[in-house]
Amino acid sequence: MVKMFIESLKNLTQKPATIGYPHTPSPSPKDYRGTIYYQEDLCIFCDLCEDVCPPGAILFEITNAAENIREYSYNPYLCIYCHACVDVCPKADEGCLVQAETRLAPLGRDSTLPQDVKLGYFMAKVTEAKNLDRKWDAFEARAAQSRDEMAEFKAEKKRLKQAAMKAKKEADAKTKAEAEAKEEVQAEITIENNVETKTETKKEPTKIASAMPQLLTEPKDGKKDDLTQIKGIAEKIELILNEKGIYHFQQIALWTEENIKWADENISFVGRVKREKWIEQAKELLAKK
Amino acid sequence: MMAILFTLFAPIIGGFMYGIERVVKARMQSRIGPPLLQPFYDFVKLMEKRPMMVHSFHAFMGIVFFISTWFAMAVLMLGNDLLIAVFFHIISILALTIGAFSVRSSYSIMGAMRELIHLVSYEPVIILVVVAFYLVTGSFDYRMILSADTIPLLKLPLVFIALVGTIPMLLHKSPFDIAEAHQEIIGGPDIEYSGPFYEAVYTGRWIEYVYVFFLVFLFGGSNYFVGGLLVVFTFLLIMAIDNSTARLDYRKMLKFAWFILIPLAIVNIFFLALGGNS
Amino acid sequence: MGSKITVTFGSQHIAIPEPVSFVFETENEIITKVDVDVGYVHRGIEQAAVSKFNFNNVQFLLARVCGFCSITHAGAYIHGVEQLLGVETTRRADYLRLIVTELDRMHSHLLANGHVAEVCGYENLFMQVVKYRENATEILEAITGNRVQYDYYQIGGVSRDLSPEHIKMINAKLVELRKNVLKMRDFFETDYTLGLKTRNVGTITYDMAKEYNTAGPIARASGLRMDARNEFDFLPYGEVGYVLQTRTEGDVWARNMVRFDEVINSIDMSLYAVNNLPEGDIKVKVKGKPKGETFIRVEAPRGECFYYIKGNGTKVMERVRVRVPTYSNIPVLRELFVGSLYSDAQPIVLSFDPCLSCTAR
Repeated sequence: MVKMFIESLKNLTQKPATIGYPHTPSPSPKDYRGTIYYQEDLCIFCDLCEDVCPPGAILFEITNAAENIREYSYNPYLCIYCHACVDVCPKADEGCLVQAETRLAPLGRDSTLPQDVKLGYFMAKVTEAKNLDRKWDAFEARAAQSRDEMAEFKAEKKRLKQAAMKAKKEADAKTKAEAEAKEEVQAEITIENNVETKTETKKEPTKIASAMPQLLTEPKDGKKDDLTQIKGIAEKIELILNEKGIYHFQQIALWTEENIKWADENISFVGRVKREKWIEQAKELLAKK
Repeated sequence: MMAILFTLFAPIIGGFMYGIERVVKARMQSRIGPPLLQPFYDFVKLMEKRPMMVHSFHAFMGIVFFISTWFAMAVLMLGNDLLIAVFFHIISILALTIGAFSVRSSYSIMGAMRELIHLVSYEPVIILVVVAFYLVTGSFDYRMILSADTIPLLKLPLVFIALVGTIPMLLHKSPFDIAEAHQEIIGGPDIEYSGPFYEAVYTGRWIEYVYVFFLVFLFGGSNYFVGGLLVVFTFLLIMAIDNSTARLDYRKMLKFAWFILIPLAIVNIFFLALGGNS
Repeated sequence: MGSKITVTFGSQHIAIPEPVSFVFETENEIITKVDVDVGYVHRGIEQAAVSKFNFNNVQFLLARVCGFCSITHAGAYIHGVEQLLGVETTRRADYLRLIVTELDRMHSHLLANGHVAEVCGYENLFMQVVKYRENATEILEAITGNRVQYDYYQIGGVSRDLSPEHIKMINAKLVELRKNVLKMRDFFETDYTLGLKTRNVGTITYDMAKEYNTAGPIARASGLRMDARNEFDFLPYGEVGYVLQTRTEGDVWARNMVRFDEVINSIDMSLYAVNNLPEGDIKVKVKGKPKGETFIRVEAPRGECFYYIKGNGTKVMERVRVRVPTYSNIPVLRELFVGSLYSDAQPIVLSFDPCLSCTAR
């Protein structure tokens, strides 16, 4: 108590330990882990940094699948500054990926975004700070899609190559009837393509149509069963079920695998039908009745 | 005229004192601290807030606290009995506690209880101080005290010590910031006030600063220099004690007030009375 | 003040930095009944560790379990993965890891003690402790490049090396810190008003500490000789002069003292390690994917931190289980309140240095 009393009076005469922060900037330390900067002309597009980045703040978007052209994008507001990407970069020593000693200012609602080519394509394209996270989400989806397209393109290429190989083989085998064989191969390719496009377009509607269970517009005999007797169905879910047109135990008891999938998708409780054994319960209740 | 001006500007003077206090306190903790005018910045900001209240009686009691503290200042300044000013101060504290009791927050209720214990602890000493002034100068009027030819401090050293001991209780300073107890009951009686109503309580506290340090100033008598010196000295002492003690329990505070401070003051008055008779 | 008042302390309260809820029933401010509720911050970190992240990224995630013992969490995980992969780190890396871990312990302990002073209404002491603690955080910032998230441990070694300037700076700052910590310990030890709030408050006896399975400084303040640093040799504690610190009082004051003793021991260890740094590489190359299961026990600032990890030879771990020290300290905390004053509840809680966002994850 007395010691602290003296210490307090001593402190009164000494210089304060704090700084007037917003007016005087805080001292910037050496070797601080800050923003990541990128140089495209050094990049070999090995994608190692994208793979290693824990929060997924580095993404490569494939803009041209045919020529494998990738664009580096970096979200400094998602970055955790962990240094992992710089560690893994094979050309970090030459300055492909560099960690700066300062960080960008935190993102305010109407603050201006930094315009720097070294921050990658995403930051260069975005102009407004508003809803940056949503824009990044959209970009992430786009980048993922570009990956899929790339994979599709590769698969397509491979298949075409295989088809060509096959055609060549067949052509070799049937040296006698060259003209016929060629026509056949071409026909084969076109048919294959046709079949694929057909199945793709057909897929969605058929899936839902076949999965739909037997639905009623109103309960049979105007009297519906008390679906809440099934363990797992509360009043709210019963309401949803009724809205969809399910009123009786019998309807649930007749559900097939496909119907369960439909229920998972439409009544939004994935896996619950199976987990809580609705169908078995419905059968039991039906038997009791 | 001076008295009226002083009364009118009491909140502003109190605000400045609070600002100085915050800076001094920060420096004692080796911090830079807020600017001197920070209490007034707070004032402006709080006034801009939406007026929200728990219920109208509670808000009203906050305003009553402010007005009656100010009124106590006015009574003091306009030459009435010091005793009456002291009682008006009690009324203001009671308004605050009644307001605090009227809400359901347990922090507020505990704060109100603690505030009452504060009142029980410091108010007898303050009354004894006033009585001691009467014994020395023969008047309850501050103007008579200030024009007395003796310095009351010389005759009332123990009473002065007792008063210094009660100031931390009155102004909620460590070790006796029990009713405020930021880390326990988060401001106690003030907790449920917000916006302009909190502003009333906040400004009421500033006036308490003026009220308390005016009592200290009176110990200088007609010698204003001694009075001013006493105020500065007491201020620094209170700050240093505030910064070098932990908060105590309310039982300890009550014991300290009743078994040490009140006997000190009484002993002083006792000897004074004996001396006066002989 | 006859009737009972129910006071809530948490889940948001000015004195507790992390969300835990206590409901006290008080009579004349003496607590007669207590109810504790933990678990306001479920962040799903364990699940994320086995689904979203590759095994060589999990340490970055686990470092963010807690701001104060981030190095211990990452460290425990990496010790485990290295065990599974059969990696032998260099001695220099071990020493560097030790330095950073101990610096982390220093600043965590100092803040914990300062916090106890703060909730006792002793604001100035808190400010002084934080002022001197700055030395430790500055060293950490210089070594690792950040004040809170060090990300210093890497599988096979550490991320950065110490330069001669660093060593010079660390020496100077640690000597100064040692001097100031001794001064602070003196304040905590002898201060009368702080003693009223901390001595004989929230006493855990030796038997209680044993029975309730306490960990860390809380156990050591009750005389229980347990410290994971003493039992396992992930880091070379035996070589740098580690001493197990215990007190026997078991109250809030003793917990503070144990922390100060440990800080001083940590400073001595770090000084020794910095000045006797072995030569060598800081990182070894690592190949393969973790397969098998193991458990790690390391001493976090708050006590013993337990990790169970299981790999199945793929990129993603199969199970990462984290059990943090605060988890094992909560049961005994519950027992301490009944009969004590409401105004003592805050020092008791803070003397445990609870890290609830670690506990709930």
